[in-house]
Amino acid sequence: MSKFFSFKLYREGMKKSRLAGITIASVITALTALIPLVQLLSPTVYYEPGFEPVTVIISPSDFALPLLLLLFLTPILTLTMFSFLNKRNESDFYHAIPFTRPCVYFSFLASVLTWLVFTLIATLTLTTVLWCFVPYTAFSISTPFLLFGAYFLATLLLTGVTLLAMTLTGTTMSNLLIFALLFLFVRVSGALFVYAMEHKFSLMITALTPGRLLLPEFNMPIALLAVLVTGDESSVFANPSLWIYTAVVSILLIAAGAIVYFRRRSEMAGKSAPNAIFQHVYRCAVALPMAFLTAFYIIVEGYDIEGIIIFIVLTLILYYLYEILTTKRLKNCLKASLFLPVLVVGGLLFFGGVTLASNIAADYAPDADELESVSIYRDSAHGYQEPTYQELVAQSVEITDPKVLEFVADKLAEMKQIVSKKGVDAYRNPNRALAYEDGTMYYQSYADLITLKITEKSGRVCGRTFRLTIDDYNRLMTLFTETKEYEESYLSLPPKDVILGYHVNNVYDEHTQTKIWDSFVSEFNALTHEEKVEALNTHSFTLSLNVWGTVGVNGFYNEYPLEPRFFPKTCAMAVKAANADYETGFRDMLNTFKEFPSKKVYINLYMEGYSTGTTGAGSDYLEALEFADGCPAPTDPAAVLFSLSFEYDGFYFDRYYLLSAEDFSSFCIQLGMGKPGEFEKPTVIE
Amino acid sequence: MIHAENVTMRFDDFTALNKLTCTIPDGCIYGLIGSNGAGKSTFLRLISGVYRPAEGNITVDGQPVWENPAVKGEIVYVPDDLYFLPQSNMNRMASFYHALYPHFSYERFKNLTATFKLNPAANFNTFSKGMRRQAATVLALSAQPKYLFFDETFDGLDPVMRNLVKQVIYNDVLERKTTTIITSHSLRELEDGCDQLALLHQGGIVFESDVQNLKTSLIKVQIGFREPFDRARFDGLDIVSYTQVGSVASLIVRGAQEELSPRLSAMEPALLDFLPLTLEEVFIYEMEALGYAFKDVLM
Repeated sequence: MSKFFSFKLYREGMKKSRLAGITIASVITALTALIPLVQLLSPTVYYEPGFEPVTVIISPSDFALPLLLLLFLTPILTLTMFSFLNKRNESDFYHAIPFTRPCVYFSFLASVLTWLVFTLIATLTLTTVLWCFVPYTAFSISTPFLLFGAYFLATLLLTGVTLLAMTLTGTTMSNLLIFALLFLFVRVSGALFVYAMEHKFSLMITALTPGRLLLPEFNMPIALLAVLVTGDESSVFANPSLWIYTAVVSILLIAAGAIVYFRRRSEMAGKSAPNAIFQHVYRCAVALPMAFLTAFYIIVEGYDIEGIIIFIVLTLILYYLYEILTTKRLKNCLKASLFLPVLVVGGLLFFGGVTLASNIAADYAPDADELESVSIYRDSAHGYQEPTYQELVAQSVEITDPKVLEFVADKLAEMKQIVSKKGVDAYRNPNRALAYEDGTMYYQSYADLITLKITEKSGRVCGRTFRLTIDDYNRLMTLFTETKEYEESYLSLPPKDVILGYHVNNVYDEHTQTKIWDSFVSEFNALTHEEKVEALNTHSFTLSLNVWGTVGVNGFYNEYPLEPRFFPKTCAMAVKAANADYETGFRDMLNTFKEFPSKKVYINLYMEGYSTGTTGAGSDYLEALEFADGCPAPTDPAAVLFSLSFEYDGFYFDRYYLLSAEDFSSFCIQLGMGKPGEFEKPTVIE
Repeated sequence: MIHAENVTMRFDDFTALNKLTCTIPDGCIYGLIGSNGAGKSTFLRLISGVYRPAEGNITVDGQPVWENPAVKGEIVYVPDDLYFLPQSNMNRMASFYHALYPHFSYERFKNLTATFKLNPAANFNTFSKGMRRQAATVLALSAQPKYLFFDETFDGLDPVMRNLVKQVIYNDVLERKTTTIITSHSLRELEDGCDQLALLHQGGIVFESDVQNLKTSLIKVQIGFREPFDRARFDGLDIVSYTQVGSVASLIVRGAQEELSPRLSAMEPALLDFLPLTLEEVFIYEMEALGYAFKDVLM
């Protein structure tokens, strides 16, 4: 008989929890299968009337959405399996049976995990099969595997937290409260501390410190739920550090639960805490995050008395509610009151800690000779949009040039001085009015914020966001690009082995997308150095080639604008492909205009970052549209790339055009949009 | 053989057992009596491996019980507060016990279930308290362990069923030489079947004896003389209790009737009667001899 596992006990565990296990598996599998089934039964969902069907890519989060329910049901399954820890007679029974404690713990844990894995496999297998039959939908073959991995780790973490909570306490109510405490205490307290610190000193980068582990997104269950709101799939499914972190924390929690279980006395069952001291500890720990929140509120909102009173009252309610719910004795509240100062001290320590930490961070200004290297930093985990491939590669290039180090040291000193005298906001959002010699006023122009990762010779790593003037920014970039390694990496395109997918507007055929990418790479490599720099830094998104993938543990996303003057062949190819998929739909639309010439249509023209629109009867546009439709796409580098967005009866339709400047001019006149050059320029697409 | 040496068990500030030492030989039915809170259940949990003693050692067949599956496989503990799997019946529990205990016998389970006229397919929720006790006893005996511990097992059983349960347990001891410990707060429950009796009070065994010796160790004598007399007349006898009303005295004397009868007859009494004592009376007098008021210990 193994000391750590018994198949017989495992089998009994499976039987013991089969009602919960089968119910959970059935409900989640049925709900998840319902989504592709509905799509199968109502295929119109993926059709636009009068148009060709569109193949929709099913993202991992949409693939099996009801799996999110498993995050809530996992603690219930674990509670069911280990419910004997809450009842004295059951607890005695399982402590008396001829198995070691580790054997009981791990065999029953294996039963819980088996139900979870069974649920995931059943759900994902059935759903994968069903999605295969849903017309005009596609998904990556990796999607079910990614979902399995992410949900398995999330449920493993929740199982670990539940187990530790159950072994520490002995009633269902205290189980749940300590579960919430374990799951959220470090996360909430840590996040509050980090956010408060960032609020006080917003130029620091938490993601470059160990503090990043405290942020909410570094928690798989929360991250999976957050995708619903943020839609940022890569933060979960292309973030190996989150996976590794979750796996490690889960194993640590399960191990901690095991250690507590081995030392747990059977008579703990039915008690909210092993002894009075633990009861005070648990109660204070449950209420402390609220005390921190009060301090956080003061840091963020200032001394708003009404708000502070509300938070204090909420803290007290939580504190006493825990005592009443777990001990079911009102008179215990009197004893509990003796430990209220713990909350006051906790709140003060939080306040003092945040102030001290942010002051230390703001005081950071090492000399140039103390610096080892500097690199540009981008990280999607810090609220920025996902970095580009170039940014990812370039950020691994450590610049050690003394001129760069000196520049950065100067800017750090300047930052320290401004922040200490005028505050962080004055540094971040300067509105510096300057005067010319003749006395007229002007405002200093600033470049975008730039974040640098600074490594000291001592090994300390620090991140700071700088607000540079355009001159300073250009100087820094010049200094950077003087470094060959940086330049090479910054002007490189992602190799195919790191690319996970492509997308060109309106093009859904994978083969065509790959051909467009190959053409783009070929034309890019033929460009001169200056052209490459310009091609990558242009901000026109009329027609773009989107590429995403991962480098190491970080995801990247590039939106390469297809500028005809740099990529004429690729542009023509993309325009042809983008319109080809919609050709039938376009014809149908023209026919609609012919049949109902008075139908109102709104046309919007997008070009080079500008847009302008016009409304009129469909008949007004027939000639222009027919003309354009017959116009072959030229490959002239001076060609004009633009798109027209049609809107009628609530339907939208995009069509791309690549015309010579002359044809473009007449085209616009015929559409009633006026001559090019006379466009209003109200909408600047950034 | 079960051996407990200087076993102490504490719950926070409360000491449930205090330096308890005892030895329970193989094949013995050991009766443990004591009032509520005396430490009976704690002792059973300790020797079942549910608790780990704060101090002292407990061994079964020379091996520690704590975290020792080999020893625990030979022990079945039937607690006062019974546990059955939720929504289960006796068949399900039999399968569960079969997975847990190495010697579980389905044949024995079948026979015992028939003896008690229990429906093994009926949900435990439909069982009365007494039926649940019977079911627990059936399951424990079917596991065929070497050691059986029953905590207040006869509570809730009607007299007929109590006797049947006792009989089944005693038969098991006879057939399989099972070492059995039965606890009760009532001496009458245990007096007719136990080989040894121990009285637990305030976490310690205050009295322990072989039942047969105990029953014959004291005898009640009623004796009367025509002439006046007092206690001094009986010097030389081991008197535990002496009361005199007029010319008749009642003595509780340590010793056998065969030994006492010639000695007392030689005093030429006008009245001489030897009366048997109930086990409870023996206990009362033995406890008084030890300086305990029986009612304080057991009531």
